[in-house]
Amino acid sequence: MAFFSSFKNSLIDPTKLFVDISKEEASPIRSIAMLLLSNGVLIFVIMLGQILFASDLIYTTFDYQTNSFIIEIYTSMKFLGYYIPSNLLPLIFLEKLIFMMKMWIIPMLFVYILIYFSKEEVDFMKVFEVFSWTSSVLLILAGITAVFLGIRFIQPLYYHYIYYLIFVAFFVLVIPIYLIVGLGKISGLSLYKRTLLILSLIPVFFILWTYNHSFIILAPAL
Amino acid sequence: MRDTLELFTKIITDPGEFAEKSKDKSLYILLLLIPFNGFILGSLYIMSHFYVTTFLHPIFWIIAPLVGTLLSSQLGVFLGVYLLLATICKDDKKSKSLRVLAFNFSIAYTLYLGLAAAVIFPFLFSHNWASAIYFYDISHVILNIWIAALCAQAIQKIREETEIRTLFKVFTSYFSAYGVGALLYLIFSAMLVVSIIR
Repeated sequence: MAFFSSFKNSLIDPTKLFVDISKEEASPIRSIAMLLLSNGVLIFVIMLGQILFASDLIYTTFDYQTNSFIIEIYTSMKFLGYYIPSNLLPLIFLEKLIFMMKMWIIPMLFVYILIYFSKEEVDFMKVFEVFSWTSSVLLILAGITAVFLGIRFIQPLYYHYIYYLIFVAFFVLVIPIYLIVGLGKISGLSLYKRTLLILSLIPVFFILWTYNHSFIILAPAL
Repeated sequence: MRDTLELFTKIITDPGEFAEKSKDKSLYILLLLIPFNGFILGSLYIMSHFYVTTFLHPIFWIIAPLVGTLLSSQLGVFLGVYLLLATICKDDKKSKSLRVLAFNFSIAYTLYLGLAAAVIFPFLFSHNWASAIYFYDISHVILNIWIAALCAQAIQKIREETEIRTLFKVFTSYFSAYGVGALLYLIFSAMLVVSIIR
């Protein structure tokens, strides 16, 4: 499975890509390369806003949300109070890249464990491949981020609200569809079970996100 | 009767088969379920907004079904889904898939409302409104995920198309219809509040 033809299929014909994944031997190196590439490009474009404009709202929102996310705090030195200074951008890029890798690997482990306990035979490396190739849609999101950095000149106050609506839509609509179809090609699970399995990640991560951000949810009620 | 009860269990165990077999019964049960859903939702609304904490209060029995039926986001979702799928589904299976989908929503919402009521009733009685709303939000998300999975399986069974296309239609229709339902809910809530204030 050539890397570039797989990359092209991931954006144009994901069904064909997942069929190829199911037929061929899993390649961890290609999967890790895809994860690093897609997440790296997205984070680079987000940080470009900070480099070009200083206190760009897309970057500051991303930085705040990732630094205060409960999983990030307890899987890094942040729970001991160590934060990277905001002027060390290369280190911050690395920190955000590791965060995004965690945000793909942890749900993947969660899904694999649930499939394992449902007594369905599935190869761990193939599940990893499905998740890592799904991350290729982040390259489209990186392009959208670049567009919104331009929209900043037209609407500097609200552009990040619209951007983050699209950002969430990618993670709630586009990526689940890819994962549901991908898991269908590598396992015998029905569409119903796969949809439940993947969409169940949403409330789990929503609850985790509200741990430090509940004031946003509960403000109308208080 | 036995066939109908078996169908009710199929919605959880095999939604695809449920979609195939329930198409002729869907409309009648839908008519029975909307007032039932409305009663539960209306009672939750009344209790949370007007501090009526007893089932014996006369306002509960009279106004709750009426308010609930009007305010029920289920009605908005049903209408939203029906309208959107009427646009998307342009073949002779349109009416079958729409009825099945609308019925699936009604069943799922009935179970959803029962679950939400069981979760948040203790909080309402203890006047812990913030926690009640938080758990209502969570139960809302969980049960709507289940509805989306039911719809995807049901439509995949009765329409021959790729999974990506089915999932895309279900997700976009569902989330768009949810927006319509939420808008209707807000409008009716505002109308009720204004009428009470006056």
